[in-house]
Amino acid sequence: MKKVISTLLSALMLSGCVAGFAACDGAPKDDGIDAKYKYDITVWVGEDTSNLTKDLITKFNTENTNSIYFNAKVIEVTESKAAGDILSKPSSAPEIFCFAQDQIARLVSAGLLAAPSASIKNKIVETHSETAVAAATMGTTLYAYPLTEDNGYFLYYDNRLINETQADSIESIIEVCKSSTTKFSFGLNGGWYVSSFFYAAGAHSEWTVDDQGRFTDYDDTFNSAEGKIAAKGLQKVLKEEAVYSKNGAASDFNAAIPAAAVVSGIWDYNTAKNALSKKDGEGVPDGKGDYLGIAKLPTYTVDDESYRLKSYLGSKLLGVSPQTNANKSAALSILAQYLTNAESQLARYKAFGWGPSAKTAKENADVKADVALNALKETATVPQGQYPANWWAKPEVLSASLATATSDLAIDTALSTYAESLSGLLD
Amino acid sequence: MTKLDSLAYLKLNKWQKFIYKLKCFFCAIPGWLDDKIRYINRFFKKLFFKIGETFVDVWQTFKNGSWSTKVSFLVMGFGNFFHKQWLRGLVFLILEVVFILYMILAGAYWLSMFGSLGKIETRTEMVPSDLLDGELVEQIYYGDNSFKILLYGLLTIFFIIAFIYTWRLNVKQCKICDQITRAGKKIKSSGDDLKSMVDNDFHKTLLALPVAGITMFTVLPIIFMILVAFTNYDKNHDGLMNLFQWVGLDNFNSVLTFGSGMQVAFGEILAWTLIWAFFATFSCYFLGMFVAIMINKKGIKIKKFWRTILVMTIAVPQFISLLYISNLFADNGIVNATLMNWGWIQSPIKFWGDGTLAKIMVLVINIWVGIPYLMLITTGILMNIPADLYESARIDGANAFQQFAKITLPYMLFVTGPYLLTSFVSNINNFNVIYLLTQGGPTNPVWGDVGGYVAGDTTILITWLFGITTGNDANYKMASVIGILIFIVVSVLSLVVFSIMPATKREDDFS
Repeated sequence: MKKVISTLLSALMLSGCVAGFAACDGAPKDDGIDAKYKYDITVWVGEDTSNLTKDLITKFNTENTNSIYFNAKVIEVTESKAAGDILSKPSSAPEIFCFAQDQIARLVSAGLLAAPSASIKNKIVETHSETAVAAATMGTTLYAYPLTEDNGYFLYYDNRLINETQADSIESIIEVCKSSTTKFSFGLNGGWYVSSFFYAAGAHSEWTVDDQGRFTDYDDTFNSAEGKIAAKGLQKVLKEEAVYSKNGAASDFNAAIPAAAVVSGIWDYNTAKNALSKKDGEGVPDGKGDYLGIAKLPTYTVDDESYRLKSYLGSKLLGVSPQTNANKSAALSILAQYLTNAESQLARYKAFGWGPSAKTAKENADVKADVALNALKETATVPQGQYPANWWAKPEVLSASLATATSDLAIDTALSTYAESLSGLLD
Repeated sequence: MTKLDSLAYLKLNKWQKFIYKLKCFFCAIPGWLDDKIRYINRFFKKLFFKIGETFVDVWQTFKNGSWSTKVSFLVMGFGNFFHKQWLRGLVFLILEVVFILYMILAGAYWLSMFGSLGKIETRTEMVPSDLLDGELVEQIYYGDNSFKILLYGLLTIFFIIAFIYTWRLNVKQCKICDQITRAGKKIKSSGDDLKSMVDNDFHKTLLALPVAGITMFTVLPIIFMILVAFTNYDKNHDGLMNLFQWVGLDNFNSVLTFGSGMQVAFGEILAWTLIWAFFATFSCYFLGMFVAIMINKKGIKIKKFWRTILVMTIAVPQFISLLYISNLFADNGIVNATLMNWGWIQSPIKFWGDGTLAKIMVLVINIWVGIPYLMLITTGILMNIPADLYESARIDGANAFQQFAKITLPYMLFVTGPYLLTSFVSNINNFNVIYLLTQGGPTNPVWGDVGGYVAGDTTILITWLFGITTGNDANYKMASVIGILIFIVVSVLSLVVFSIMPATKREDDFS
């Protein structure tokens, strides 16, 4: 009897396997839509934005532009992770995907971005800001569609502890933090934030990239007199006990040792507003953000001279993966352009507060009056050009060296080690 | 080195005994190595002999076999058909036909590409599109796929080996049939075969599926991963958009070349991995045992309560408790806030910001996570130690420590030796505790930045491997090399420790 049962179980397992494999065959469904160019596609968008994207695609389908119809599967994938996921499995890349600007070089050198055709390129260049177009361009080729122009950081502060004048300099912020046992949260363990000190002092790091996404040259002055000023200022801040440098998130306003000021970006606006709102008897915030102060980045002082921190201004981009069918490629290009046009960007601004890159959307009254976007506009003055993906780790390592450096010589060594490591990043 | 007899050994003092033992240990190493080399040598000799024997047997079968056997060399199963073993014959024939068809349709291609891992590169061209009224649009033409070639090439090699084995089985069957016919006995019919499948050969019926599954889903991927270490598979050579190629031992060179960035990082991380594994294993072991002894002690009340409290840490998923603790000890976390409120410290302690402190923290937190398991394991064993041993020790005047060192510990080590080893190995690969607490940080500015990932002071090999695979360089090739090196470290340690462990040597002594 046991044998019979065992045999049956084996047979069941086998049939299970066969059924499992058979189920993998997912043929597209025919939903009876009559369109000349009809495609099943997958779209990866940032967190929480799938519903809006679905609505926009439905609207695109209804408008029936050029007789194109998309049966789209919209999936949420964090922008910073999208490129990594696509690179690790290029054969299953989605047709359209949203990614952070710093990933474009990797995607282009792997051949995973299809450049839009000449007419669409012209439209994008005409309608979007110069910074955003530069973010989507490698060498002279435009590879992606600008989705936002709001990737930068500014200062959020608790206006019960810090006043406007104090928010203007790091030293006063730290002073307040010390006296009130609070923290100044600034993600100085990441290259993106660390660079603000160097740009403030007048140093820069610019990289030349060719049309294939290869980095051919660089002009970097972090290891210079200006760079040394920045390094000294950075070191001073890193050594302050009141500075929390592991992260830079508005959730730190609610930490056990709360932050009095946080350097973060648009994505943290709602969290910051909730954290610094009046609370009712049960501790539920009203979400108005009465205690929230927003300001441009503060200054730091080295040898009695003040330097104003400057943030990068970067973009989120939309990419189209290369297709084996020219018409599908063109149709995707038209959709990508639609999803990034002024109207779609305004919809995104209204829903999530994402700062638009399209010129007409920037002129919108609400956008112009937006407090957070204005603070960003004032302080994010360094257009984030193209950097090799591994460059971001260099300022991070430099920051870790400076945190432990105890002499002037150690600062020089850290800077020259940084400078020496750069040539290894060229392709 | 002259070996002392028992009497001479007993005359030595404590230090001399220790030095003598140490000398014995080092002098035994060449002999041990020699022994292993001889073993390997014998193994290969045996293997070659066996292969040679098989060739001779095949030739003899052909020479002495009936004409049906000879035909079977080309048409598999023919001999079985001839002897009216329809089922066997059919299975052999089908296998041959399937194999030949597979080789013609796909296998030959994969195999021919296996040496180069692809020749045609993927390219794009500007093609006119009707949709944009003839405007030029980028269109892609896919070339070879190195990843698929490596995978299917390997699969084809597996199939060829399986086919050779089946062919050999077919030849053997014919030989047996010939022998039985000559002896004038009855040959098994298809009915007998079917019956035996659920009777004598039932184990084969049951094991067929699991063995096939293990080969396909475990053995094949492992060999695939090993082969990746000999290619340049990374972000610039993803296999589809840009082909990857064989690079021989280049990747091993970059990890093992003295002074290279990779080698320095590997050395530092390996050293910390071993230190971590050692302390993580033994701290939990001894403290767990200590807690169990304490709870087991006569006179301790509400034993169940103490045990329950400790076991509570097991009840909460490790994943959650570790993440929670990581936040608890952050610069702005509850621990620092509380200490500052109490006025014990003026400024927060950087638990995760200082390399040495972070290392101590992960070890201490690991103790908290690990003690309950050890307590449960050792409680049972402690109860099994005969009470009369302690009683006689007490009569002889042994104090508590002597009783522990001479009775409890040897007993425990004997029983839990294999557990200690597996625990050491699992700690080498203890991804959870390290990654969830520190993500490998704090960043090490001296040697951390290699391979497209910044390693930190608490990074162990397995978190490093994860980091460089998921990092900017998608460095699969190096990850594979590190994987192989971890395997070598773990297997060498396991073999050495296992071979000197008392539990595997003196089973009879256990009492």
